[in-house]
Amino acid sequence: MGFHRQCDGVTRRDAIKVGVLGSTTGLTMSNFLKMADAGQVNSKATSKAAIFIELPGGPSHMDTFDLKPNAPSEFRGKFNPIKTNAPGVEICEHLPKLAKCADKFAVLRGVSHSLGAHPLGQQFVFTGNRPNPSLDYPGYGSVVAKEMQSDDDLPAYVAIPKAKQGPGHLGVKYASLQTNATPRFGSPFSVRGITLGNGVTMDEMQRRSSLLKDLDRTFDTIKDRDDLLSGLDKFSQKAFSMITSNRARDAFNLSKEAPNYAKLFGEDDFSQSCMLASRLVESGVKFVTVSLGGWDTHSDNFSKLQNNLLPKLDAGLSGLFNGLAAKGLLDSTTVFVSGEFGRTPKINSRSADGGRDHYPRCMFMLMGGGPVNGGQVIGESDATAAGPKHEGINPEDAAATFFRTLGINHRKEYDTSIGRPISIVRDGNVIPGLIG
Amino acid sequence: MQQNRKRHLLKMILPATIISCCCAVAIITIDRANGAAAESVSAATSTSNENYSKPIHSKPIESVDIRFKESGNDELPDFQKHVAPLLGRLGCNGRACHGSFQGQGGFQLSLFGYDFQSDHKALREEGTERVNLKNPAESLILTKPTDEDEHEGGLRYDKDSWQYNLLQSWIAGGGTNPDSIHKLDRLVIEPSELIFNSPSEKFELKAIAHWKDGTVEDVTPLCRFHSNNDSIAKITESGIVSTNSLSGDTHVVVSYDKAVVPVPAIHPYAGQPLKSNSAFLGTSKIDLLTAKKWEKLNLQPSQLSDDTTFLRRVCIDITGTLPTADEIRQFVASEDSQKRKKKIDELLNSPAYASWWTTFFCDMTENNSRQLSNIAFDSNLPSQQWYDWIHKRVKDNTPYDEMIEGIVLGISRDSGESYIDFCERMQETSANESFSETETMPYYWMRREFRDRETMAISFAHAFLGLRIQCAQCHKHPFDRWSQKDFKDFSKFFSGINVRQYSGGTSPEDKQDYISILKNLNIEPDRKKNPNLQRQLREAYRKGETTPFGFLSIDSPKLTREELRELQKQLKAEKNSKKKKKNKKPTIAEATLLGSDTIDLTEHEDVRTPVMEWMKQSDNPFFAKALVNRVWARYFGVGIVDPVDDLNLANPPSNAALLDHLSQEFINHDFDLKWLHREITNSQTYQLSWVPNSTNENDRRNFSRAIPRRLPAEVIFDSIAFAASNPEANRSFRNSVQGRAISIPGTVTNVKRTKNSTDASFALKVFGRSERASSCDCDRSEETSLIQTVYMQNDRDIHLMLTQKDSWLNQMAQQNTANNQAVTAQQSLDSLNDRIAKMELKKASFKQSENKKQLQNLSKQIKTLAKTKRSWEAKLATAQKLKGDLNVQQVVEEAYLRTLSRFPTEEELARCKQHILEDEDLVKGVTGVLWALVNTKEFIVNH
Repeated sequence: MGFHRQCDGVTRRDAIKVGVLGSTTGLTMSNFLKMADAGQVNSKATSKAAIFIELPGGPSHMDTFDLKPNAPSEFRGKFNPIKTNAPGVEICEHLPKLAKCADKFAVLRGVSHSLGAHPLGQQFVFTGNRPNPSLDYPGYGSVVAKEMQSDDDLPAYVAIPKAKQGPGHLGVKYASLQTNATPRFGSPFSVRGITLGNGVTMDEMQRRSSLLKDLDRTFDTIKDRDDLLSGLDKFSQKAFSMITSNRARDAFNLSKEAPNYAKLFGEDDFSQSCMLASRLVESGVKFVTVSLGGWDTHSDNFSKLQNNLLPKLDAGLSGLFNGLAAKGLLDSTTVFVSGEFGRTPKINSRSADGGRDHYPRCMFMLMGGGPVNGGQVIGESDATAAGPKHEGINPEDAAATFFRTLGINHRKEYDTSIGRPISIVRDGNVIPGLIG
Repeated sequence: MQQNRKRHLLKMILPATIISCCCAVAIITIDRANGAAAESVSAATSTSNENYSKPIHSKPIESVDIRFKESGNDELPDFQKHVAPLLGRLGCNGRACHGSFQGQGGFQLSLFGYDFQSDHKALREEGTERVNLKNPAESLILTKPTDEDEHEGGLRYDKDSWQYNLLQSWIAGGGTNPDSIHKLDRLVIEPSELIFNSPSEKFELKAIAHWKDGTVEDVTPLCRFHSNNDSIAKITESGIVSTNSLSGDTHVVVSYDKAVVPVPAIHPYAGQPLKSNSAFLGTSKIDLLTAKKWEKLNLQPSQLSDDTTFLRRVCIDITGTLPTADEIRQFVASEDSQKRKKKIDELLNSPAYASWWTTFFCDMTENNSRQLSNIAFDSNLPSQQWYDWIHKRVKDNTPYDEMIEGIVLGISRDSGESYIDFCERMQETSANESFSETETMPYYWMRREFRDRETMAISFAHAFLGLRIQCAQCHKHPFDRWSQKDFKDFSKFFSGINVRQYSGGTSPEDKQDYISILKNLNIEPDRKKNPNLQRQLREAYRKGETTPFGFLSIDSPKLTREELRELQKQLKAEKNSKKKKKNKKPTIAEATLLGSDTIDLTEHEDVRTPVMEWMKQSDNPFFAKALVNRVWARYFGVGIVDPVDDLNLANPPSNAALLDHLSQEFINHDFDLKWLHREITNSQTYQLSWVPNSTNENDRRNFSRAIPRRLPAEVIFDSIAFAASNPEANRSFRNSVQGRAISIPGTVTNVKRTKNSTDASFALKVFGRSERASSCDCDRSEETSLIQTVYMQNDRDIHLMLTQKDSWLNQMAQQNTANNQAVTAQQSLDSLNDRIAKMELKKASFKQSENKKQLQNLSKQIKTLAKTKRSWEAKLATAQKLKGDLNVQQVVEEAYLRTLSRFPTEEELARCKQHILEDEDLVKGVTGVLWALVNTKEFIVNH
């Protein structure tokens, strides 16, 4: 294979030749320059890495970052808003630590779409593309892994413990390294594939590797001319250096963090995962996904949030923002936080404590770091947080903006294996005011 | 009009070498039903001397660039024949221009054309000056492309060019579009094959359109041209083909109207012309056909592979399982001239063959567990039954068409079967695993994603016809004949297919049955009153009670909501205009087979039947080919058409004669799958070595050597397990497929071979087992990645598999310990015996001196020693039982046979021995060797 035509009969090579006229690359140079003039492209302020915090289950927007204290009681909920260190930005009282660093992120309200099932919502919000049965879109991390080079002895994309979206049509090459487990406070963290174990020592690994080198000679005569064989060789070396280098192991070793730094985070798994994410980014990993589930609060919404989810989110996320800032990484790291949808404004009575159900028409997102203008609210929901008050923000726009913070042109097209040109985000526009 | 022909039938531009084989003509014929272009005639692609088709002699009308060279021609150009293709050729309807779904400057043409009505409408749209009948020269389609008016697309043609004159004449003539579509009979391209005998040669293509109405016209300047690989053959906008430095073969493709015609372009490999492939002894039809192509390309095939290479390859390909050490030894030693043939037969009869190729068909039909929830209360049941049903047929070698018929015409409930009877039967098939005995398998149609008929049409065409028609859902297929109408008309076959979830059917009887099933279980059926309904039913199912099941229902074809709305609008309009009200039923009466007949659906109770009948016809252009090509690709790593699921006109086979032959013979052999496997694997072409020679090292599409390819995900996981397994498990690997990765039914993959063994799900994900999710063969990945090599080198799966409890190495460690223990025990026994013997002597001397006390002491001591001796004897016995011959050389040989399926060379043996002996622990050393071997490229590659 290797040679593919696009759906419109133009080969990649042709596309380059075609240039401005009839260009198939979407964003032509002249378009780009126009956008640059309009301030939509800011090449200076781009992030070098990103962290995506996915909140599968769908967190209630009304009880977290979009409170409606004046709404009728069947909507309002039990929690009260508190002021934050960003003027005019108010969030839930059970997020006090985040309230103290609200200048570091922007709250997006009135984000809206129409897919109310978990898998579909996740496919949409965690890829920036409306699901399509004949095409599997890549998650954010896989796109970044493809677009941004990482060093040899580090994975480009790590998921803690795993990400909901795979590499989709980009292929296994851009899949994440899954830790499969979350780091626990005070205990050594072992990462599948990276940590040496099962009685294999570094010396043993070196010995085996030298044996492998001597035995793996069969294809020497042809390997340089064969993509598969030379690829296997290249990856074999990279894997070995990743396994044996101190850098990769250190990147996952939380006990190497200074106690003062570790204090910024809580002791629960999510906080520890956030600390690991900051450490990985510091080491040179390009993209980290951290997953915190449990938000599907059909019943006992308020007690689950108050007792468990919000304290965790508050500790981990505030730790992450403050930690990145302390390491001087916040300016070069975008942090994006989102679930797949919001929850029904009206409280159901299935449980004594009340619950909320799936609600894609209105949700929140957070974005901070890199070129994102923190300390503000963008977008607005209506009086009962039942929908966007004005024109809503859609997931595509958020995705487009997110990619833009990394200097990735979201209109860039990839050819799928059927030769169909697919842009990274099909319909998005950068959200005005959020970055720059 | 000046008859000044500037073109010749065959015009060589630079050095005028005469090419004997260029007289044949590539033809495309257009079918009867809707003017779609059928298969390109392949005779033209064969060697010139044997297949000389005569040039078409009816004299064509000369081309538009000559007719409209001067302005003032009073000929009226035709919208479909001239204007629309000209706009296409100029690039107006391209994706970035007016073909964009948003249009450009408010002007939208159909992407890639062929929607003449809407294009005409767009050009003539009121209030625009695109076409100005009063003042033609003011028309935007003349002023913009000549850059007289500002045009983002820039200059497309000059004023007073033939293009200008043509469009101007059309506008002046009224800018009309005929009511009906002209049907193109065929598009003939001359020359029909391009062979570059020198790198500086050039060819100029000529395209002659033959219309159904008898008109024949040179349409060369109206065609679009592209090359499938422009590093081998470059083609200009006007159809002039030249070659690049790279040798090889490809096609240049000519498109006009609905026709898409590929023309082979061959740039032979350098070197002495090969008289014949003397070293190649293949005599099968496959071999003759591949050799014919090699000759054209001046390709010398590689040598025949040696026995061990062949055995490994054929075992992997047929059974997804490596050969055992004994099997390799026997095979190599055998002097039977028929041993390869016999081995192939043996493999085709093994359980692993049935499992592995069932996986192939489950990939093809997309047996995806996630898509099948909500059918039964065991969400894995449908996937398992789907697998089992195919497995039985692969094992029994049921003809392919019959098997597919059972899927395509799958039904849940037998005719007249009540819902309750159906549920009872399903419960029974689930309990006694007898589903495979049912005649048909309905789950293909029951996937959740099949929400609309378009999705079904796309999936169906992909799975059974090897076609990607999804492009035509929104616009004309850029590389094939399919228009949006073709897509729509085909998808209508799938408009009556519905899935009823377990809560019963729509009929009152079904509902009653559903209630009574629940009543029998003492379960409250009202969801509002019973929030635990699902859980209770699941529990009842587990207990083996009769619970409700979802089922497939084939109803009469229904209109979609949009279509209904459209129809109502139409009816309303008719009512308003007081026309006589026609009796329009809101059903679909007709559907059209791809490139074939239109079928009256009212005549069929099950509207899927005509599709199946069409596929089974011996002249169906896709059904057999799609399968044959896919199977071929499994054996060669590349299809005769590649990508394998893209049998479009612009993606022609690399060896059309070969694909035609195999498909036809497959049909002639009643779709006998094992025949196909045998035919391919017994060919010398399949059995060639991967070691290239100077002529074929760059050949990747003509099968002149084996191309190393990464093992499929399941085979990798199983092969590691195989390499690590204890000798007993190792020997039976091919015959006991229970819990192996090659026999996982759906997409839930956390399956274990034994209770202690590692589960396959992580490895299968990392190595890209088919996701069965997007109607694309690319759902299976055979790419490489960093995570894969990290897995092979250091994943806990690998470390565990190599050394776990019932592994070969663990057994070896036990043996090693036993060996050491046996030695110690023997030594202790020897010394004990010695001591006892000495004491006995002493005892004898005491006896004589009648020293009673000492005698007693001694006897006591001897007794104690005897007791110790017995315990050592027991230890020795145990050790001897576990003891094994651990000869380092033999162990290394065994490790090689288990992984690379060959014997080590002297050098390799020495290096491995060195590694083992450096370690104080023999088993640790061997572990290192086995680890290194599974990490070689040779292990992970099928070669």
